[in-house]
Amino acid sequence: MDQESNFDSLLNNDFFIEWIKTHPSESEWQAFKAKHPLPDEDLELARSIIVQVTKPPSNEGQDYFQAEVWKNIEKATIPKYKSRLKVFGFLAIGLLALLFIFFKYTQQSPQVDTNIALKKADQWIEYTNTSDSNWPVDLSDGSQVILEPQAKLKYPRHFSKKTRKVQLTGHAFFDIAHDTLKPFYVYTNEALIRVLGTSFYVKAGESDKDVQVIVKTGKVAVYNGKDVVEYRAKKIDRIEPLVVTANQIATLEKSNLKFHKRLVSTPMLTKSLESIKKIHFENTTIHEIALALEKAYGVEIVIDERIKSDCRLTTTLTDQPLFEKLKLICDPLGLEYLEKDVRIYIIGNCKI
Amino acid sequence: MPQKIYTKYSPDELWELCISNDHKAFKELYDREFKYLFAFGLKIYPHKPDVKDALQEIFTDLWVNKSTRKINHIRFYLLKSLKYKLLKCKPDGKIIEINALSKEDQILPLVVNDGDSKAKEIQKILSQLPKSQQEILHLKYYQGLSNTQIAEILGIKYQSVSNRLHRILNGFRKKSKKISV
Repeated sequence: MDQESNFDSLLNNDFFIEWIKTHPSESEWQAFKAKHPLPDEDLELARSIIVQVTKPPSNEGQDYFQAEVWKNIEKATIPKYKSRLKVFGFLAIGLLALLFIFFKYTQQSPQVDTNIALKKADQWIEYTNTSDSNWPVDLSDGSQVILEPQAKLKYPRHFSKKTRKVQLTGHAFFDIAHDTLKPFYVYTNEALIRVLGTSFYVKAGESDKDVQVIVKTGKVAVYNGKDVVEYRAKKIDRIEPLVVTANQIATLEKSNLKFHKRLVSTPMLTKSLESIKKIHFENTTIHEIALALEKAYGVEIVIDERIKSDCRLTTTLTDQPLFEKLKLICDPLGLEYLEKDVRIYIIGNCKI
Repeated sequence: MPQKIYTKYSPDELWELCISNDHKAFKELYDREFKYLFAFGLKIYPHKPDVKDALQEIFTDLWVNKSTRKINHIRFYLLKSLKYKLLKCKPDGKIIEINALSKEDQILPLVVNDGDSKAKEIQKILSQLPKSQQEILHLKYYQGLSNTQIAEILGIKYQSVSNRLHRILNGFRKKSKKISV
């Protein structure tokens, strides 16, 4: 055989190709070259061609499509994702009944959407996070729900024109896209949560002794499921939601179905003011300092009437937690702060 | 237990892992094959939404029916499935001539600033080959297809694949000689 066809058959030899792909060592390669009839030059060329052509593709630019298509494949192939048609039927009827009653008796009729997705029975998705880490679920309006392990969320593939509704069992963090025309509802067994656009955390596990709603930003209305039921039976004539704002926790005890709310243990700066990490006060009244903190954390601070505007302070607050900031303000002035319900009270006699 | 390093498996080994219900292997297989399949699909039917849908269906079906699928060569299977799925979308049922593609649709990776001068020289020759020839080299060496399989994917005759390969490789050899002299 001439060299041309030798070269050709070498590059057509599956064993040779596979062997080169495994990246043989230099000594193995030298031994191979010594035995092969082709000149070294041709052998080197054959090897380089295979090495170059078998490099993994590096053409960028399709990453977006790759991620997007994968998302859909994942939904269809991870067993936890189920579109349960039968369950949906009950869910839809349940939701319809509850909503109908709810709206009828709360006189919020302009928002009523009685055409709840019944006709679109196949559009509901039920997802349970059976993994041992948090799992994000993206909703059609751009909102995101991060499910903790074991949490279950039922949500429509597409929200209806007037409202956005989901059902949760378990613990999850909601980051809801703002849309004042389409309130967002979270149904849990004992409570109904209504928001317009905000972020909050919900604890509504079946084994939990209470339902908790912890608000990170914005404002959330929580309705007691018992009230909704009593409304329906006309035992009470109006229903009041508990309004929960940033850095507050609403708790609904399952044993007696009573609500209460308090501040979170570590209040965080609210979203819009996240940039204000450092604040300097120069001979400033305690009232002004308190007002700045109120704005930054969305928490109400009440100052004792006995404390007058001559109570001034020079200080710099950085990124300490809120309660440490309060200590830094109160200590030099001989004041004290205490937390009651969802407010902070500053009391005592100003030393200065 | 040591974690599996999925990037070290060949596509066929990844497929074996998929059959044993390893979803991470499935993800790796998808990540590795998506880019080329997407480019290949666009060549058959230059309509991105349809190519996306076709790939979504193929991969979903692959996983759902993994226990009943008999696949010897996963890359060949993927290319073939994509081809026939897209031909159904196309009114004329014809494959577009590869040379008609625009410049940015590179078929081979062709990383030019990589490796020693010898590697660069090879890369330069590769990049100057007509697209149809690059395609054959890619299918042959990167995808690891046999000449018969290449013939089926590209819709040409077996003999034509062998002839083209011969021409490409020896053309390569001559060019390389010219440069090194």
